[in-house]
Amino acid sequence: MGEARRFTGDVAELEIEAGNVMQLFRKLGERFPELAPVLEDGFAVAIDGEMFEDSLLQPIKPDAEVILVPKIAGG
Amino acid sequence: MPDDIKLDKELKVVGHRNVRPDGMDKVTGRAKYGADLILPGMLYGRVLRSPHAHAKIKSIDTSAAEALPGVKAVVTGKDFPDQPKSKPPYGPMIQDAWDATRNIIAREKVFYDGHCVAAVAATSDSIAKQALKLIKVDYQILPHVIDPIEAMQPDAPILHEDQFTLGVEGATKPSNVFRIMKAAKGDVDKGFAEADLIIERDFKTKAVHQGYIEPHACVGNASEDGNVEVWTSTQGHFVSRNQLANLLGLPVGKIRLTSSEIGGGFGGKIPMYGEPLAVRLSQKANRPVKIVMTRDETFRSTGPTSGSHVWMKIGVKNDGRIVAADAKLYYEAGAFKGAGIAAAIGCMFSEYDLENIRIEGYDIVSNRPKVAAYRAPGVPMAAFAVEGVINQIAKKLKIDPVDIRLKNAAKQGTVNVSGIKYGPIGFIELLEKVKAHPHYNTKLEKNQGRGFAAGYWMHAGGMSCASVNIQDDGTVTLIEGNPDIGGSRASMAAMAAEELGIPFEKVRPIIADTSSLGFTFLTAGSRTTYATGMAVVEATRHAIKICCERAAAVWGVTPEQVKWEDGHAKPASANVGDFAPLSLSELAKKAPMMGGPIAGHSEINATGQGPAIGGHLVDVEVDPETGFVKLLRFTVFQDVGRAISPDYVEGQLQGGAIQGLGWALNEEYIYNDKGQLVNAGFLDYRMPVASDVPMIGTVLIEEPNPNHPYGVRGVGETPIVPPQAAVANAVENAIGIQMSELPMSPPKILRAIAADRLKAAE
Amino acid sequence: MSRHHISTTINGDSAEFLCDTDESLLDCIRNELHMTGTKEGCGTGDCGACSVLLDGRLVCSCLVLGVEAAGKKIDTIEGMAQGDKLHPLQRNFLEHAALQCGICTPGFLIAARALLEKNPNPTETEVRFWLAGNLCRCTGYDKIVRAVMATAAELRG
Ligand code: FES
Ligand code: FES
Repeated sequence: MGEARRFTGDVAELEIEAGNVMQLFRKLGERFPELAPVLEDGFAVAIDGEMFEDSLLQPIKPDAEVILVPKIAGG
Repeated sequence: MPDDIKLDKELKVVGHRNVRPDGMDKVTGRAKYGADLILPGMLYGRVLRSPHAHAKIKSIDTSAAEALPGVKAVVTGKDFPDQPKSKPPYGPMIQDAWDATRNIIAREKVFYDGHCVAAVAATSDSIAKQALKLIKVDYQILPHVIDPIEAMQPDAPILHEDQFTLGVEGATKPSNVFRIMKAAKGDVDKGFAEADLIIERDFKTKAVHQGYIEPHACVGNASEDGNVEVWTSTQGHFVSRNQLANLLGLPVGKIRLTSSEIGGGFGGKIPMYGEPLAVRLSQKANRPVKIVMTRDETFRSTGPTSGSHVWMKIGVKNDGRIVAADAKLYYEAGAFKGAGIAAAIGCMFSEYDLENIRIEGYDIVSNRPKVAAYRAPGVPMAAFAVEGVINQIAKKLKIDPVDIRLKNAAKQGTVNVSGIKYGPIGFIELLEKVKAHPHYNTKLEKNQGRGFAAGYWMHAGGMSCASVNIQDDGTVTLIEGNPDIGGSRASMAAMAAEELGIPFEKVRPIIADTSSLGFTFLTAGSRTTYATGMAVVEATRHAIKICCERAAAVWGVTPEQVKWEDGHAKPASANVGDFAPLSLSELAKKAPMMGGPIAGHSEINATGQGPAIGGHLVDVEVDPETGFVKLLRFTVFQDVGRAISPDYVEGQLQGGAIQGLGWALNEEYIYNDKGQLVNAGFLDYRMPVASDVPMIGTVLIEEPNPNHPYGVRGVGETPIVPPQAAVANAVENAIGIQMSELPMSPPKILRAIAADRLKAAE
Repeated sequence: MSRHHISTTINGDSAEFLCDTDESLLDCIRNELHMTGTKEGCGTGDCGACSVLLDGRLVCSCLVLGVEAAGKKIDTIEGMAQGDKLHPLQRNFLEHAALQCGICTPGFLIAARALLEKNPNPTETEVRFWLAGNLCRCTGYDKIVRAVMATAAELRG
């Protein structure tokens, strides 16, 4: 989880049950209250290697690997 | 939508060299840029700027200025509502309104030479200038710091007393380091333990400016009912509108921003500078106010890119395979937090397939203008170090510089440090094209050298809207919301025309103001042709769907039995019946009697953007007597996914390459000991001119992005990533010394040659 | 401070404006005559965006005073096309995609026209050195130089 580890007490990997990105963020936020306020604005997710930004409704398949990636803006 | 990618079909408009729809206005002087709007009763605004790098503002007396005949309004920081300071924890993107309002106009302190402290509006420009001289500011000068490493020292002057470094446990002393960002993959220490060769080096780059030829310019026009109109040269009028509402405490819906034609931006026209001042002055004076920056102001007070220090360590096996990469990035953010370290971390090693990576990035404030994006913000400085060290490794191991990259190249399935797994990407194909290119095989003469470097950018998606109106003669108005900096209107029109099956000239693309279309994110990050292009295709398909429904009603069949082909509705198969095709203009003409106008629209939040990798091949000649580097040949290779408008794709690659050349050889911000910028003009901040450069070859690799209907990746950012390193590697090839500091100006090269000779003599 | 009354000729038409003693010709053309095709990139003679012809001579209008234009002939970008017929340079700039943002384009067109009137058969190097006073940050100059060379060839027939 790279950058997100700052908010998770260094937890780097965990299993969470979630059907879409919004549910995932809600559950992560419950587990790590520090992370909650920055999730939506600060992070995109890579679901099985594919990037999704601002996509709260993006479905997540069971057993998918989801990585939190810092959002970045360009020039 | 992406499931019916049209890549095999013969394209009639997309990928062809169409003359851009806005071109005529631009070659005749008719096009209206930021400074070109003249309104009745308009006032001229001017800004008073700090001559000090760091000072407390004890008081500002504007009374004499206000008393000057012709002066209609004066504003200082007090005229703007203060904003709450955002608090940790911070997300990776920092939007701090406390910082933003202070960058636009100083409140307690000035943080850099050029910082705005007051603004006036007067009936003429010369009265406005006189009025500035009458404003008395009482400063208490404070010690300043500019270099990021110096700013990190414990005894450095502190810019923000309440800033404690994030990422450091229990920090008790305020610091100029805003935060430390980290990313890692694999086990770097184990990787180094297995390495046959390890190279470790320090690199330094100076702040450089985007150098757009049009200075910032805007007109603010507030009316008594609270409505606000703004005309401005910006890369994102929707984003600016929202920020403006916030900074001025106005409802978003009351503000309308129109983006003028924009005379270059490269990231530098994302932030706002004059707009809030012009609006506030206009509110006070009840007249429109225009603010146009001078070139001096553009250099001194708008965001350059970060100066940087980078430490880099790479370990390889004897066959050239990289087994570990470790880096520390120290970037200047300018007066307020937010240097491009996240992008650098995400991109710097990402064209390679590496197992073990560790990166630490420091975001450091110092007394210079707040940095702004500059094409692939943050990445070139890191790439300069990565590609320089790889060049050294190739030399030590006697491996061809392209071969060593082939050995480590990312491919489909590679996972980068951020965890992104790649779909198809064309890096290997690109490297093979480099080797086969005549440039690569041209013989070099004495004092000449050849360098190669690669670079990566990940691109952006985001929100975009588009509308397509079919007019009753079958011509089309296409409405989108991205300011067009480099010909994007041509690409939008091309995609709409391709979908509709009509000639390019029948589509007129228009860029809507913020009240005429839904929110559309910035023209930045090379997202426009990708994300807004998707919205355009979707909106066009929506209009086509309506056309097919109308044809179905005429023929008494179901809409599924109608297909759209070559600008006509046709029966989907022979079984449907024998109906003569209906053209777009026939359907459009009948529209009023068949349910009303035909229009399509789309509102999306695009995702699924694909990265783009580029490689630059450079030949130089170094004069050992003067240290002057002459550019001989330059060829840019890039995986562009799909070039919708090849002319403008080539133009992006050529322009980026030459900006990178300036960054490599000449350009830098030079400060005196008071922290004042001493080269705030084009004479002393010397950008490349036509006689400095040869023709720039371009080789487009087209590995389509499967997530875009035409395979677009985006092109504008990547070309600024490799050139600095490519030029440095060419210089190394010519003189045998890997330069580790930009710019590689003649005195630096001479010094390096002399030091090398001295070393050899010892 | 009283203003000066200046009579001049712009693109073949007589024109008059009032200006301050220290006002540049560029400001007069833009702010007094409202002809905004001539651009300001620097105001110090370093970018060429403000190029105009003054009695047939290529100048940076930001370095000329408005009062100096009295009785002279000024040619600006607005006068380059003849009716709806583009000057070959304008057409070739479009066809060769020699502009991206286009802010530098009026200056380049005026400067290139001055070159071709002097030297109908310039080498690439001559084109590059003649245009070295015009900055373009978008294109890397490649397509601009090509468009000028192509126009020269076309005009030579
Ligand atoms: S504006 Fe006159 S040379 Fe730049
Ligand atoms: S096209 Fe933008 S400066 Fe030349």
